[in-house]
Amino acid sequence: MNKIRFLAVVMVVLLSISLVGAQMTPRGGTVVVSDGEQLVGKNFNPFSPDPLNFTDRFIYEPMLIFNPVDGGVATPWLATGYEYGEDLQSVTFNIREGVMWSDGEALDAGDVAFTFNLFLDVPATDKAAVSDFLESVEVVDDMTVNFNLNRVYTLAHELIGGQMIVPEHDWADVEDYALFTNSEPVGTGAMTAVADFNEQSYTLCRNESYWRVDESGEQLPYVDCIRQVLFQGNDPANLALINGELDWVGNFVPDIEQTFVAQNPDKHGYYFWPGGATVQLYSNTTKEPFSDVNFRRALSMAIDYNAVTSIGMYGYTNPANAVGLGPRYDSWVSADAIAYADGTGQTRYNPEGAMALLDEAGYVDSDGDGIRNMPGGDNIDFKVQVVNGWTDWVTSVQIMSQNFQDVGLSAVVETPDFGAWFSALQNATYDVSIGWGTAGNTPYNYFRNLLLSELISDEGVANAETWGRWTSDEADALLSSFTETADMGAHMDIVNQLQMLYVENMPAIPLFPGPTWYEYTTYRFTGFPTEDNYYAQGSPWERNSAAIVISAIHCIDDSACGQ
Amino acid sequence: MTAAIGKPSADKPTDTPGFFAKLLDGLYAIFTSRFLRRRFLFYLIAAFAAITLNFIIPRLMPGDPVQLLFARFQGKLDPRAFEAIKAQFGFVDGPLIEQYLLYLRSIITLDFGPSIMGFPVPVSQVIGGSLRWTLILAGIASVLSFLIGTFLGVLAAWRRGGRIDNVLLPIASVFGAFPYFFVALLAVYIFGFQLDIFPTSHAYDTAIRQDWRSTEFLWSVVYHMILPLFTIILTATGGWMLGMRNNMIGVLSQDYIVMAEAKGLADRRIMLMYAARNAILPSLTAFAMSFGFIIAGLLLTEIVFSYPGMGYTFLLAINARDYPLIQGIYLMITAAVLLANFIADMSYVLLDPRAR
Amino acid sequence: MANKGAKGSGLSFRLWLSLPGWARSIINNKKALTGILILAFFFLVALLAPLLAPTAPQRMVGRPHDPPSEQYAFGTTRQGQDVYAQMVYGAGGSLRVGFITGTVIIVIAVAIGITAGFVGGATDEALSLIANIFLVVAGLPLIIVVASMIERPGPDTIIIVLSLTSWAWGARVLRSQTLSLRNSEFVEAARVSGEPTWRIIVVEILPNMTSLVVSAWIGAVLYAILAQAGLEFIGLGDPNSVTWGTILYWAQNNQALLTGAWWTFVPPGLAIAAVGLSLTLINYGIDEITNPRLSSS
Repeated sequence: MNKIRFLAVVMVVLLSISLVGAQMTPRGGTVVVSDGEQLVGKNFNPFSPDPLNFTDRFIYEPMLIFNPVDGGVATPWLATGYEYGEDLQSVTFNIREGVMWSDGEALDAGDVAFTFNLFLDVPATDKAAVSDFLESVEVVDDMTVNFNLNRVYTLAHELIGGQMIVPEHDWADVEDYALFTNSEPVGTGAMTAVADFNEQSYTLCRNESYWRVDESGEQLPYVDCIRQVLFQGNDPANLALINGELDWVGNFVPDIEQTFVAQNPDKHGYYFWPGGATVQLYSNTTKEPFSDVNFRRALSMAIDYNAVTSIGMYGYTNPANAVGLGPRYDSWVSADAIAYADGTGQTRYNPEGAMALLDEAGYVDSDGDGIRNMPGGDNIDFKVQVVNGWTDWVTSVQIMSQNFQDVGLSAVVETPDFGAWFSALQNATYDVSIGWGTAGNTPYNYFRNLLLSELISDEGVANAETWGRWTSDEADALLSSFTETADMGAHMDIVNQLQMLYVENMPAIPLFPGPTWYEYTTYRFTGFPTEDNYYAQGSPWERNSAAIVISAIHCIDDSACGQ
Repeated sequence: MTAAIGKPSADKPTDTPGFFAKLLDGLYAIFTSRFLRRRFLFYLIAAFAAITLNFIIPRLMPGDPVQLLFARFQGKLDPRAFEAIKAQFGFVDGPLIEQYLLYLRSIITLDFGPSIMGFPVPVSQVIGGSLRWTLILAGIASVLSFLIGTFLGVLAAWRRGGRIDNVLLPIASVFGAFPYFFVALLAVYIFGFQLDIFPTSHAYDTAIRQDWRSTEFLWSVVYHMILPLFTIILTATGGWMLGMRNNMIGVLSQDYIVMAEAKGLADRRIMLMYAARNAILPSLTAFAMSFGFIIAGLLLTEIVFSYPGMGYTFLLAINARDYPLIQGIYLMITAAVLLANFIADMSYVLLDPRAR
Repeated sequence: MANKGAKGSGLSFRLWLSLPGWARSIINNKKALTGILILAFFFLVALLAPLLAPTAPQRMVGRPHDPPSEQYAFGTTRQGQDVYAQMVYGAGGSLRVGFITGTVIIVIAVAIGITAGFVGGATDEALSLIANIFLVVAGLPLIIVVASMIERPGPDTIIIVLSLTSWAWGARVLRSQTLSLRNSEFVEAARVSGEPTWRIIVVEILPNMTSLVVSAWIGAVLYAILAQAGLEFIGLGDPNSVTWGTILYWAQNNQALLTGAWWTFVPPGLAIAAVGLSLTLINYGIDEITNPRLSSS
């Protein structure tokens, strides 16, 4: 009897333990990632031009995170908050209590001040040009840092809040910050221990003193390690993904429903959120006939946007709206600008309209050879450039050049290599080219990089995306006024006016918002963002959300957790 | 490719003393032969030429390297930070002759400075472990396909009109006519993906630690190498086979072979010790010369099988105009090719008494 | 090649008689004849492309990745182009590069090889050294670097690059052949009778190496066709040109095998192999004709 009772007690105890265990999130496992990273030099210095991808996602952290799906709202991270001074010439950040570096020391205001003084002292580390507006940094107390600005600059919190914070005690003795490769990083992030590093993969394991906890007080992350696997190009990575060898991927996959999802619909998921920068067709407005806005408008109307997105982009995105602002900026879109564009029909496929507009503007086929002529008599022939090897864009450009030919323009596709292409754009030696745009927390960055005349250097080199070289005093004034006010209403008003400028003058032709590549498999881990629960951008290469995702996923069974 | 170079040897190989005595004899001969001394001089000149080409060619590439550097860091780097970093790249500015001298020094010290793509990681570290995989795969693949092809060529010539000659040789030639990557991609797709017998990428399972003493790791290396090796051998064997067959046929009609047959020596002995030994000489020269192309062809293998060699890094470096990295990898390739040539030369001297 | 025969009358027997001896022996050789017929087929396709394929090869005419059907015998590409039209036009693109490159390679190889072999002395030393260096300094890396130097790559780029980097092998082979011919009696005789060097080379030496030159030429063409496909495959070609190599490039970039669109991948590969095989067969044949012992029967 006693024996049986004892056994029963034991069983009850075991059962309750396992019940408690079941409520706890399973821990452990190694998440296998491929985000397209290619070359490996062991470099965990976040301030070098192109460190290993995991560096600013999982090892170092910023004070604020701007999750792309949150519409530009900051998530407090290493800071609990920030506040501008009365005159908007300073901003104060409150550092989070209880954050530990992976070597056990506590994060404090000294580390933050050290980081920003590094930017001021060593220009090679100042990737984001913080020193452009930052005058000085002062430690107010252990957990408060004040940043003095050299002018009113209301985007300061974005730039300051977005910088990776490095530990003063580990970094103070570095001899040359530009040449520093930081092979044994000490960070505040979720994964800081370099467990393995070789020519085909590298693995980071959990930071035992990570500061984040879940609702029930459990320390994050649930997973033990994360491994980046490198592939020589897209195709072998996609094979591995489809074979279920990878857990979290940020790759372009062709015909994904058929090639990937259909292989195992329960375990294979993806979501190509169209939250990336808008891809545009640039034309060189220093050349005729591209200097004529009516010609640019006609070009735009000649484009079969649906063919571009469905064939060129595999149906992974939709044609952009007339102002080139993707779904991420829905609340910013100006109804006036859209109405204007609807009136002209300028970004809708309408070959007849394009031909009528060309006729009206004087670009007619005066010599009867089937190709329209300039008013002076020359045939209108031009090249549409795209980088060799960027095949989705090459296909898009092939479609567009066919569209241009259909309205009587002699357009030829040209595919220079990246270097030649980029230099042609910067030096205005091209005719027409497809190119990227900029995505930021607000539409400001998009318009700034497209329109700000300051970005074209004295030597005539077009930086950022001023490749079209359409600039105006009005745009310059609007852009600088944006950074001089912190008022949301004023910001909206300025962005409205910029949109009007954009639709009236067509400095570029908006094609489609960039899809953000993201796939996952749930053989081993679960908790990834899904289309229905898109709590963060899924792409493992998006640093502003990868740090959120890594702490949200967990292994599903003993075999996955044991890996 | 198929032409037999030079006249077959008229020497009759003398009867063999002890194996070791012979080997020692051979080694002694190697290091005292005028032939090898001449070859050494050639290697020196070739190495110098390669080194100089290596310096000139990247500088002839279009596009301002500074702008390109910046393009590489598109969106990641402010122009001013870039200027500061640019100061670290000494090679970009300065007169050419000064750059050349600096470059020569970097070769002697084997310090190519930081790579551009991986800045500030030094070139030697970027190349790092990938050099090993390129050499392992290139070495095994080229030696295996040469040996298999040559051996089958001997058999085909010996049993003229037999099954090897009439069936295997044409099949091998057909595979040799296919573009290599086509065969390799089909192999990956069929055996790696559809049938799932072999891995589709990497040199070993990425979940295993790289440890050359662990059998699990070594087995993984072998397992991952089967498909790449198989495809290379499939497409490369035919050429060697045909060349050796034709050389053999030439040699078999020589007087001394007929003599040997008349003397009643065993078939196998005639085939291997007399005929094949002489017929292999032209093939051996061709093999040494082809090593450069084999390493180059490996680029396609690496891309298709995602093998972590340096061919793909080389392609990336070229696209990024990463001079230091291009130079570093190119130098490694040249050194490997010269070394292979040297080994081939030594075997040549061992096999051909006239070269001593 | 057999232009003398083409000028003959319609009567096949007279045509046969009017053929030079080498042409007759080629036709008599089963391997060579098969090779020539296969090659002729592809040349015909290339020449008649506009007649054989009514649609322009780059025109997007159908839906993406349509499998072979009555309308599109070879299906369509991811871009909705007619694979059949691409194959037909691609024949010209690939053969043109292959044959022009092969010819340029062999011209350089003949010039350098024979000069080195015949003139001898310091000239030989220098030319041989250059040839050996070109062989040793790792062909394809050099090709890749040079190819990427040219900003807007295309078929002509590939011709230039391959020609410049690939002549050394042929030069080496032809040099050693020249060396052995130089000391032959008939060359000695010509020299004694005071014939100028160029005449000795053109009249006495070249005709005696015809078979070697032709087989080296065919080898060079085969190499050029395969190398072109390889370069285009890794993206160093012009993706807007239509060659079998670029069809493969596009098929691979659209991951034709993964998506099951084998019809964009298999035909160009087989076509290249068929041309390669035809060249190999012709080379076999020539070997057998000039050296009857090599014949396996």
